[in-house]
Amino acid sequence: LSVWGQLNLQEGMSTIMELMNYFHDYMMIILVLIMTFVTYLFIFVITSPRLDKYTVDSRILETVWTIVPMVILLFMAFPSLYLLYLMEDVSNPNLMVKVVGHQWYWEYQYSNSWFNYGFDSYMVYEKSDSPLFHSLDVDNRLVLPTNANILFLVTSADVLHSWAVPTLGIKTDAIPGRLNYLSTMTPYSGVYYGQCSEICGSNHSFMPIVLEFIPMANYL
Amino acid sequence: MFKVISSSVCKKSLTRFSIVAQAHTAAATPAAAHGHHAVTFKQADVYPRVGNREIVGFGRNGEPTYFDAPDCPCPAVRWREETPEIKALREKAKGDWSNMTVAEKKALYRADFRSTLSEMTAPDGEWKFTVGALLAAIGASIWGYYFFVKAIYKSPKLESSSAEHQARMLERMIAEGVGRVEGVSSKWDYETGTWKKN
Repeated sequence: LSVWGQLNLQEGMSTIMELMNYFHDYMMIILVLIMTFVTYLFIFVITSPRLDKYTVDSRILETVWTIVPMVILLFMAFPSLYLLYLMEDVSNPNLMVKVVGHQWYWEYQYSNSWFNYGFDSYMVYEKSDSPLFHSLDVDNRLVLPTNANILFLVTSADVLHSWAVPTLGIKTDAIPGRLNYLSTMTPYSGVYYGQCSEICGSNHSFMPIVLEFIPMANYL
Repeated sequence: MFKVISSSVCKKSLTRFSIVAQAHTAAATPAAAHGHHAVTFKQADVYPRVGNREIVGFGRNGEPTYFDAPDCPCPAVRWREETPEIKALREKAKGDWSNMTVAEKKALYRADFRSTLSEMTAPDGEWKFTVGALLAAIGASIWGYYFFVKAIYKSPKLESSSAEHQARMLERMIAEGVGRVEGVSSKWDYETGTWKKN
């Protein structure tokens, strides 16, 4: 959940999101350096009295300004691809949850060989005297255990939706006729919020996602 | 360095000079550019830009245009058309310059150039108009905003934006552990139930 005036990403409650926050900081450093350098060149070109207006080409300069950005991009690409493939890794999920998007609510289904339980999760409209989070609270939260690899299979029953929980770093489109998968694991118990992230009709802003993580001992 | 030649076939239309890089020749004059006879004052009408002015160099891009620029101080054409008085002064300048008065030297300069370098770079006060226009625009925007707030935005404030509601939201955020590592809950002491001191 974001607090008032928050500009940065939400705190990472899963391992992947923590790594994404580190990656974001790393990229921001590189981008600020590049922007500072370009701004300096910009001001220098405008204000310097020693600029040669009649320079037409320079092979050395063109070689340098091709090689240096290539090296910078390599430094950006390696961590990016590493994180990307780490996100895709789904191995030995402990729990599988199906998420079905409807207009305009989410349906969650837990199922395995001996257990099948599903429920709908509608947004609760805020009353003036109850301290609810505006357009974020639901009647039935999705309760999950901590320290467990959870696999989400996301689909939709009608139109495109998108299931997103920013603090866990997960988001995937809910597409009718297709199963998209997501994997997450968090060691922290707590309540994490998200909202539908693909326009799906008049109540697109009013179908939130609430996950409640509780310790594994209490879950079973 | 460059020889100016006429590229158009029709001599009575506006003739556009094109530049062809060739071996060094003397500075071209309209007479040489035209090819055959000298340019009379009536024929100056055919060349509306150049007239009777001598082309004295390449200038910035080879076009026979006069311009004042501190970074390229030698334009392609003289400023004024040649008059008999100026012609006489130019003949006199071929001799010893100490025989010329300051007024004559200045007249020669002003015949070739419109303004001096210090006149080109002198401050012109344009910034006053720019700053004034900017301040006027800012003032008009503030007036417009005031009008919108007072006359158009009349919806009631949301209860959820009141301080009491926000305090209850903050209490719930702390209870749920929002930002427990670096955010708002990390500044709350759960043992004592108060904000951390440092």
